[in-house]
Amino acid sequence: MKADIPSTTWSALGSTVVVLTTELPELREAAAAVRTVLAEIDRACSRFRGDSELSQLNAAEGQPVRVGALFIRATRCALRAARITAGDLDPTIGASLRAAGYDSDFEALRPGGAVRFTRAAGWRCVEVDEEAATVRLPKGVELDFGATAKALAADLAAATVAERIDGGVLVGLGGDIATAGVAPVGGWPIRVTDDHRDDERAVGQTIALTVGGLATSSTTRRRWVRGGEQIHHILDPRTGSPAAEHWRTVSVAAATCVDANIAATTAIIRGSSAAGWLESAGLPARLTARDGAVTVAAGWPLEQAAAC
Amino acid sequence: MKGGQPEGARRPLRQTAASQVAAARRQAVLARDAGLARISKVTRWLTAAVVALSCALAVVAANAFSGQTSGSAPAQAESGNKKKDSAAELWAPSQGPAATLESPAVTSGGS
Repeated sequence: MKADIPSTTWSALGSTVVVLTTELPELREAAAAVRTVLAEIDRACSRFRGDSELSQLNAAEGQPVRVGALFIRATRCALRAARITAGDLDPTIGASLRAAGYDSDFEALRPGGAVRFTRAAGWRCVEVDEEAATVRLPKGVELDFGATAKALAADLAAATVAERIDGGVLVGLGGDIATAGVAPVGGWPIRVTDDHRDDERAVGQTIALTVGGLATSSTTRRRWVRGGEQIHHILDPRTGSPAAEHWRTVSVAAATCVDANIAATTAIIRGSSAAGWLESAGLPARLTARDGAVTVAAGWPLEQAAAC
Repeated sequence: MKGGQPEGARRPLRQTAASQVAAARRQAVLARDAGLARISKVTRWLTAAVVALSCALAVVAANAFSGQTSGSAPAQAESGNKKKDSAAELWAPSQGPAATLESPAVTSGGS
């Protein structure tokens, strides 16, 4: 990896955190700010922490639950994603994920018996009362913010850091990347590939990002076995089963990391129609098919231009 | 004669006075009716103007303050057409990614 951009890395939210700053003296303060934001997001939105607001809401059996402003924001963010994508991303997928076997922290998952997939309850059943600061779900409905919370955390962290330092900052949470402030000359060099843990030798492409966010969704990560069959974590809310793997990996650039992630994950679920959808939305994207063939949309730089 | 004016001499005078009073009353009635008609006309115009102004203000207010939902409204209240895809609401970057020959500083991949 490039050595002349100050960086630090650690693990959080079940993935790798990377913080880059344009100025070395500001890296420590930036990392501290990011840690604070991530801790707040984890307390609010983790599905695997019994004391999180999300876990308390999922266990409330139809009763309204008093929540904090950050949780309200995360809920609004997830509902916006559902509305924009006409339900292709649906936060009420929580029970479906549990039914599919993703019922604990991913690292703790073990092979199990066959599962019966259950469709999402539908995002319109979520009731948010901002005046009373409560959220209510019908009994049996469970939320999961996997499609938006990490990206929201990256956006919030980058914005928070930008308020405290003078230089530019990049926050990466797994595949979700948010930037703020002035980028280094030539932009932030980023490798897009199947797995965020891969290094620069992995199959993929290196691009330079100057503003906004970048997100990658992939079916190659977070796979587990149930009934002898591989299951991946991107479920189609309409069936509750893993989305058909037309694309194995999709990377999208947008004004924010949240919007990039919404588009990338929706593209996986939409399959063959996704490239045209991204093109019409004007979102630069790189889509990798199961066989490795790459399709680009909306001005994403061509592969050979970046090859070396 | 028992005194006073003869019967034949007094009758025309009474008739003239009565007709003058009646004419005056008719004129007063006509004037009142004309006044009422004017007032009614003005009232109708004022009513129409107020209704038109109210409609115009409602349209202006609806355009100026659109998109707000009440705090207690369920999420479905803010939803639009169920079938509508609102991809245009996803914000494109002001500058897209560019090709580079630099070594990467970070990786974006599945997680």
